[in-house]
Amino acid sequence: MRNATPVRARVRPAVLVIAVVIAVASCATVPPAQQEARVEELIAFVNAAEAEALLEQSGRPFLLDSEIIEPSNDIYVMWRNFIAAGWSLPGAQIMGIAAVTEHTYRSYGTGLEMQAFFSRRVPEGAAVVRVQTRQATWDLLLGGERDGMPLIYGIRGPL
Amino acid sequence: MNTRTPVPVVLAFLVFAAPALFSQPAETVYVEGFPELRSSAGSLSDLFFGDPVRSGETVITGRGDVAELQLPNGNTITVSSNSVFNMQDYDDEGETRTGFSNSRGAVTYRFNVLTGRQPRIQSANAVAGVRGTVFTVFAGDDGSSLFLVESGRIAVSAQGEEVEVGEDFAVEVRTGEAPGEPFEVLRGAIDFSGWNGGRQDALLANPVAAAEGAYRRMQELVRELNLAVAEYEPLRAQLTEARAEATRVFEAEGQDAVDAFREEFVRPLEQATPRRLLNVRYWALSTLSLRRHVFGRMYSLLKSTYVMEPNHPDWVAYRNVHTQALALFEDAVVPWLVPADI
Repeated sequence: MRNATPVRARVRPAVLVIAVVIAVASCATVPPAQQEARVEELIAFVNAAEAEALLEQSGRPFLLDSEIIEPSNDIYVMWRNFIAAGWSLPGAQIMGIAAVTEHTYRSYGTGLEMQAFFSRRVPEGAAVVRVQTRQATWDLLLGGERDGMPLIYGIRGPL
Repeated sequence: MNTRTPVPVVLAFLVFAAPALFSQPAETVYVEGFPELRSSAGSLSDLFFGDPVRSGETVITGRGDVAELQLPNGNTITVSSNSVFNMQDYDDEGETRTGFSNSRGAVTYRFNVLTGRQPRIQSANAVAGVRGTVFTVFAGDDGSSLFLVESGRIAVSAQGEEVEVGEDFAVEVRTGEAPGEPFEVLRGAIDFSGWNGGRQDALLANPVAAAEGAYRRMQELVRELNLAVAEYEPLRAQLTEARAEATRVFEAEGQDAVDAFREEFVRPLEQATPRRLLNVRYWALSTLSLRRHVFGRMYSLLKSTYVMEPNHPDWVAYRNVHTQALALFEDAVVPWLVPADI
């Protein structure tokens, strides 16, 4: 009769390999907007970036509260004004990450505009991320990817 | 508005059954930077040399971008940086014409060749009638416009009043107001960013006045829309009734009778009804342009300015007018839009 120990020794590395493969696979399949680590990376970026860089990291069209902003210069001016006003996400805590579904638009407005925006303009795998700072709570609409971080498709708040 | 028409269904008819309704496209003959084209289906793509720009499409330029379009008659339109320019067909007594508008930024029209009736040229808050001329329309962040004439004459109208503007003169139209007095300008003495900077300052100094002016313009556009709807709805009802009657004629009197009936009653209505819808869509999309590029711009400017002061009285007062405008838009205009417009 063979000892059980060598079997366990063979199984352990196999389990580890499977776990690593699953973790890697899930990272590959879970969109960046729905990965907490990527969102934290984005928040750190937002807190340090200039308006030009924030524009590059923004999706278009952009949703400010329930207003659709399309020209890139308008999005740039928005970020420039945000920074000038002292807006940032210092010490932001992620309160929740909710994948965008066919019903998400209803929390932004009941009309055709929000329905069409969420169904036609927001990429698959997008999420609404609620973050709380020392000053206020904000919803970030995130989707797509650039340099491993999700793009910002919208900001709503303070809630 | 209480009655909702199945707009997507009628639009499908408009697109597929009556292609002759639409005008010929403009051609992109020059670009600088990376101007973009927003299709009538709502998608954004880069605009290149040679690309057609069709009715229902919008050219959007960013910083440093320029696009020049040539119309089939040789006239040209130059879309400067940070501008939004749109072409939209409408029916003018049985003829399809193309209207041009810029709700944001600066657009120069070189209309040396004019045949038939004048094209309709709009900013966010005023309309220009053209008589063989070169002129530029500035559309500011607060919804105001400035019309600068290099050669020829234009007639600028807003809020029911019209002024003539000749060569080397300009007229400013504050949002929601009638055109001001034309004033002489030295060529090149006014640039868009300098003028628009003043309009931005005016917006920030008195956001409620700017919002109320834009709201008055929206009410004006909605009145035009309602007139177009009042012409379209009876025709649509008559067409529906005529088609039903054709079925009854066929069942009672046979093929020859229904062919004659269709020729006499149904076909004229089938030709007239989409033309009326074209005008409904023209005014609905003009109002959408005001809502998106004037109200949207004002909202983003003020929100981002007061983002850390959400209870600032200017911001709160602006939002009240903004909410009223949105309610009017939702009630009167949205029933005539389709998701691709958004």
